[in-house]
Amino acid sequence: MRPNPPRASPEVDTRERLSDVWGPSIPAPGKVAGELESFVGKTPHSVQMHGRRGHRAICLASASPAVVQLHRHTMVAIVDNEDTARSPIHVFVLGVSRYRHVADGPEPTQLGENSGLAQLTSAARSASEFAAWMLNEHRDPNGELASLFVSLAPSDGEEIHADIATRLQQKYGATRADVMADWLRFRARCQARRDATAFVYVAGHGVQLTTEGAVILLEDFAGNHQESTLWASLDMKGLHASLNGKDAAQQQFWFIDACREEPDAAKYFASLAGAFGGDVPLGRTKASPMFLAAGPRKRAFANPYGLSLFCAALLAGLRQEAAFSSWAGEDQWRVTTSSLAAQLRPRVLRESESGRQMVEVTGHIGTGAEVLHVFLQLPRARLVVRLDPPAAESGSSAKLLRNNEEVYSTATWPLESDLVAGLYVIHVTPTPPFADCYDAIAVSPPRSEKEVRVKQA
Amino acid sequence: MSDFENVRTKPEPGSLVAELNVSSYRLREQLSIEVRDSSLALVGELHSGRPLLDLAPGYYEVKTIMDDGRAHTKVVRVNSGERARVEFEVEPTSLMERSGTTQYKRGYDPTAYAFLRAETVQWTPSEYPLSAEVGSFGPQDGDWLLVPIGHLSAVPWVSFAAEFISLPVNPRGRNLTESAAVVRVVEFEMSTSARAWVHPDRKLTSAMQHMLSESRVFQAHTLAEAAAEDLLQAKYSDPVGATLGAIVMHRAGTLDKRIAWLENLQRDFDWLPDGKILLAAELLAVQPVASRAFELLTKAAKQRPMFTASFAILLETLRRWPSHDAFSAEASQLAEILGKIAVDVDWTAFTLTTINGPKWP
Repeated sequence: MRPNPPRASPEVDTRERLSDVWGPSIPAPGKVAGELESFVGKTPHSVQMHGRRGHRAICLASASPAVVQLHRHTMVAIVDNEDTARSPIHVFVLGVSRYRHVADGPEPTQLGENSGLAQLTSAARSASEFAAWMLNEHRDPNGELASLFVSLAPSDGEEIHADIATRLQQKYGATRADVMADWLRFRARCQARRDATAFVYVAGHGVQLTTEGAVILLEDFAGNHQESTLWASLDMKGLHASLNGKDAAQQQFWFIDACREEPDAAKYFASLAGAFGGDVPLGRTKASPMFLAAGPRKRAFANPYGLSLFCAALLAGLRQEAAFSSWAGEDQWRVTTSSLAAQLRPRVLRESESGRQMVEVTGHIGTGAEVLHVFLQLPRARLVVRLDPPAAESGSSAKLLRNNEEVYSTATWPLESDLVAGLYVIHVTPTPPFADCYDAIAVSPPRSEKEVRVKQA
Repeated sequence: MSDFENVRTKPEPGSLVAELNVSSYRLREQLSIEVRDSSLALVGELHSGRPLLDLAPGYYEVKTIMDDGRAHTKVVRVNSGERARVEFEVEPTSLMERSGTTQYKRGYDPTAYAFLRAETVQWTPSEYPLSAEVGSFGPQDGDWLLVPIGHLSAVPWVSFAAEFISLPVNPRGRNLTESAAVVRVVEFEMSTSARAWVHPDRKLTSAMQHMLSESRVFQAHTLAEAAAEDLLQAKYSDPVGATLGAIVMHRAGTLDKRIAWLENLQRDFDWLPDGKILLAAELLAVQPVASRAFELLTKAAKQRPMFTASFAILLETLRRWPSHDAFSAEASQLAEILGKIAVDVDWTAFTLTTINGPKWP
């Protein structure tokens, strides 16, 4: 029996962690399968590869010797309030890390082994973090959280957000039966009132042949005696279309955090037969953008036992980085579809480095002004200021003023400070031969950089 | 203090005007400029050359998304009783953009460039197959200029490193650069690819492409809505640009207002299957099973699309054809054929990029 893997920490290199399981026989970095080697040792946060070429390393790291106890999941809505005075907000969250029938699952099947898939360690956790954000931090002055459906299938050792774990009472499960119960109830709620807002977040193994959507595989994917290959899966494009009607919740936000598979595995899914979708109504909602964590046949990366890159970027955006300033008032600072799209893509691309994970925005995008979240407090942003020419920095000092009041001063360059978003004036006092100067700087999330030109006296 | 004295001591407001240095009048009129005060609250939205009045003296942030698809920001001080001015300009990034409008503005004889074909290419790969309907000119500063020659019967393509890339040329351009597509080789960390761009002289279309490439889908939509008629009228006709605008409007859900416009697009530019695909998608939004929509999709499936997004819509529509319908078997067959192409599509490319070879499907 293989031991449980040590919990990954940010400082632990992937190779070092694998050696705990493989012992001295671990391959040298150059020999590790495919893309995994490009990340070994590269950053302190090792990234997890899913899919055939990398899966052997992962399955050894995450296999558990214990017999997995499967909990039958009865529909547990964390929030369930049918009648709300304000516009209802309905949320559906799904996170599948545990796959019963794949090669390293507790009940492997031939199809599961052929798929080349392996257990995940971040999908359920990421989903729980999003659910917790909706529960604890989301703010909509015009709306009220009316329902929060959460289906999770965590893998061994995967940590679920405490607030969600408590409310789910450890009832985990994301089989087709489990998820369908939640989905149908959620869909009914969304179809009951046009003034409702819907949020959908799903994470797990996914298959996608185009940029238009994804198929998410459920916990019991690849079981024996199922009606079709994709019986235990959700066609997210189909589900999206089934809610994109003129009588359903007119404002929707969809987040599909799915790992993509290589073409060899994708060949099993050329037909969508069996994947649950739903009937397509006539007409359209006002807006239902769908954010896909990665393009077709591209990997969606994650920190092992941490958050997926997409989830981390999404939460960072919702908490600060995608803050957008509108007209003055209580809801001046907000996250809109447009501001989130502009923040998510570059951040995920940057964080994935040579993996080049590119977020796609598809679905019915609306105007871009749709509001996902309103900030209660003014957001902050990082400001970095340098002087031009760089020689002027030596011995120079600077003050930052806001509304004519000094808020920060320094003689250290580059100037770096976390500030409340807004316009600032910088007064630079350089050493000779350079002259005093002033300049104006806009500080807005997530980060602002400025080069102040200093002239000679 | 009396009300009169209050008014007298209140500082006189100033005003602000922003100018966008963009050569296209239509583009300049459509690009929106946002003005924010010291707390970054929005105080006004304006367009190039039109002042924003009654501003309290102080600092203001002025921001716009330019035709390069990027956000440009300046901070300006408005003084009491004065008008502050701010200008935005995009620096050209290649020789093509800097000099492309000078030599070839007025008319050209396509046959004069016929000799500039693959065999004249000086850089690797030495073979650079082109479809029969385009000629090449270049390289200029690393960019290849490709122009349509004669009548187009299909979406033209170019081959680079075993990839086949649809070319967004404009057969209705008034001159060489307004007809051209630009192919640029891009080096990624693990691979090298080529990408096709609309020539910068096709201002509206180029701006939309840049905005979409920078994830400014909503700004692209604003432009598409405003430019839809221009892109299809005889005065400034760019069917490829019109198609790109249609894709953006389809995503935003506003294309249903332009069914007649779409009918013109797919009828008058039969070589461009993207119009058929979008019209079919719009018809299906109104009526889930429509024989006309299926007919359009069947025709489109036999032609190489221009844009990756169009191909995605085509494939997904066929894959989801209702199983109880009479056309479902045929739809599944087509989906299977196109699905085999889909596994080798470069989904990060703007124009359809495949490795299945020039034959379609």
